[in-house]
Amino acid sequence: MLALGGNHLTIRPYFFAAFVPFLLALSPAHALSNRAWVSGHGSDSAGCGSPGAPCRTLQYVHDNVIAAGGEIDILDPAGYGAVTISKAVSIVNDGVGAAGVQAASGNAITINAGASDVVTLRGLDIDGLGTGDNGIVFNSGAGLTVVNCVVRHFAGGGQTTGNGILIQPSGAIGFLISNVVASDNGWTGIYYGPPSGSSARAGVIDRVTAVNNSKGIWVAPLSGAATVALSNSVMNNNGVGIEATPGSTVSIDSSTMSNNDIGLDAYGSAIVLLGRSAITANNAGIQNTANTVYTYGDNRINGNSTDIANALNTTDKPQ
Amino acid sequence: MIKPSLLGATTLASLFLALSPVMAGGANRAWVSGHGSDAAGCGAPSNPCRTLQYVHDNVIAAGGEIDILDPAGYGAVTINKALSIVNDGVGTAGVQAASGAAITINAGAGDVVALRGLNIDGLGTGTNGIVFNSGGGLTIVNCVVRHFAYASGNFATGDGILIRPTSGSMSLLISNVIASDNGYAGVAYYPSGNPSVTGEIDHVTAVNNQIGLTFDSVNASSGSAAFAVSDSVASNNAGGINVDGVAASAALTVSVDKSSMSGNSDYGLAAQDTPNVLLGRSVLVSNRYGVQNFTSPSTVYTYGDNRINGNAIMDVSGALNTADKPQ
Repeated sequence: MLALGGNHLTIRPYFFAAFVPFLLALSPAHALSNRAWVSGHGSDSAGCGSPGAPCRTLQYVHDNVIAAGGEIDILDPAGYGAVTISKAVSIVNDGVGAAGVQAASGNAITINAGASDVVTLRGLDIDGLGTGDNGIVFNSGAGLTVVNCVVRHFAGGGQTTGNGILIQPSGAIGFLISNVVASDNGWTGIYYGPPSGSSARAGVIDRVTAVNNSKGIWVAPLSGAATVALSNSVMNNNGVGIEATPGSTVSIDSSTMSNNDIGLDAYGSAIVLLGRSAITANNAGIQNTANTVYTYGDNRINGNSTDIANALNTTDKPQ
Repeated sequence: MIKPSLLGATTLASLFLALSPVMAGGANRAWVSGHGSDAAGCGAPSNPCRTLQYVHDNVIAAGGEIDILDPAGYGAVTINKALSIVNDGVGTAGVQAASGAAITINAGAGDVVALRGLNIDGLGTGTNGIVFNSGGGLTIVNCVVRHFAYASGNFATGDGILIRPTSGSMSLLISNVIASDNGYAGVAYYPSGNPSVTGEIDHVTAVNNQIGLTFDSVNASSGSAAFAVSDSVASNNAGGINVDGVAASAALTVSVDKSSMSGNSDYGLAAQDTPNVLLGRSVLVSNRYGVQNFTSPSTVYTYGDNRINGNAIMDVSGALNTADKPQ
């Protein structure tokens, strides 16, 4: 096996000398592609990637076909296998049907990208089958965009397993999670937990539905700061709808927390800015200790066994 | 099939001349496919063409519609007439540009152009995603524009969508669009000359650009522009929304409603010179500055129902004008 231009070509050694000039001449044509296709009818072999000759798996394309910054596109409905991403890349399904990524063990999608690399995942159906560890794990990179995806049914009850999406970079990043359903996970739907010493930037969670997880959304920096702006989202039927731990600042706007054991849990000195949201039919509506849950005075917090544990802070006004 | 030997050269020439109006630019609808090929007569669903530019140049009539038949990359295109390019959900319809612009629009004064369902990617090196130089109207719906590169000092590079007319009247709609990872702006309005422009930006998500949305008419000599931004997100950029205009030369009004600007490393919303900014029902949080208002007297109007807190240096720099009330 000889790796050439990222494509594996099987070469018999005794032909090698004769073929060297030929291979060198070919190598530009076998250069990594900016776009490559995967299909349920494709096969992973040298030269695959066009719509007429698609590849089969995301990992093969990532490792052998696609250039940094390029785009892996889904051609038709199929399962495409777990993938570990180590460079800027987009994986895109714009509506051909289910583009599945299952992981019965380990993680479905792991991102270990470089400090300036941006990664996009769109239109993927990511399932842990009740036994896989995590759906999407973001360890490093400059930015992550997850749009139009489902992440569900991962197992575990510890911090680093059982998460639909686990974001734990040590470098500065911005992430966007939009139009995502995160459900039936043993630990969290989405866990933003930058490790200690990280220079974390902010995350956006918009139009996310987190259902039937132990925690719907968990913002929990191990030390230092983490900020999240959450909007137009629903956290229903979790143990905790949204939990923020000290060091985090979470803005919650136009969202609903219902039928959880705890709707909103602001742990310790975590800062929460809460507006235009409904918190109802939970056992505890808002669980807070310090006076750092700020209300804009237009939330609807009723119909919980206990609506609010301690008084909300009313010093922040709409302006 | 016609055997050439049965026809004289003159007859053949006459036949092709007679056919040519149909062959070049006559169809009101034409299809492109990853399995198609660019050849005379292509365009039917059963005989699709391959690239947008070939169809634009050779097949489609002004005012017609190029439809995407299946997932593929369809190549960069320059548009000089009224036209729709439509992908209503067959899968990814890609337009990549490793250099230059992915889609350039140089249409006539009354021409309207619609782009729907396109996935436009600059691969970290292309110049701009969609560049609108001229035309009567532009609609961009259900598109992604991402990863274009900024050439230092040139604001007309590194933009997901760049609107830069120089004259005429036009209306713009940008809806349900993700503009991300661009070296300069997600969406830039950057006119010169004297255009008169109205625009709606709705359900747009602009993240991880240098500036999410920028409206900068300082190079326009006259004319006007009025934009309404609603239900949009401009976050995790250096600047969220930037508005810069000089009313005495070219009036600029930008309404921002029900939108979110968060996690921008410089500002959520910035305004300078003398544009009018109308801000309501929006959230500006976890930026360095929430609002940086350099207008004086202040022409950044608040409806009193924005949530501007938790910004690192200051929530509001430069007092907001409270003269406009909800009514």
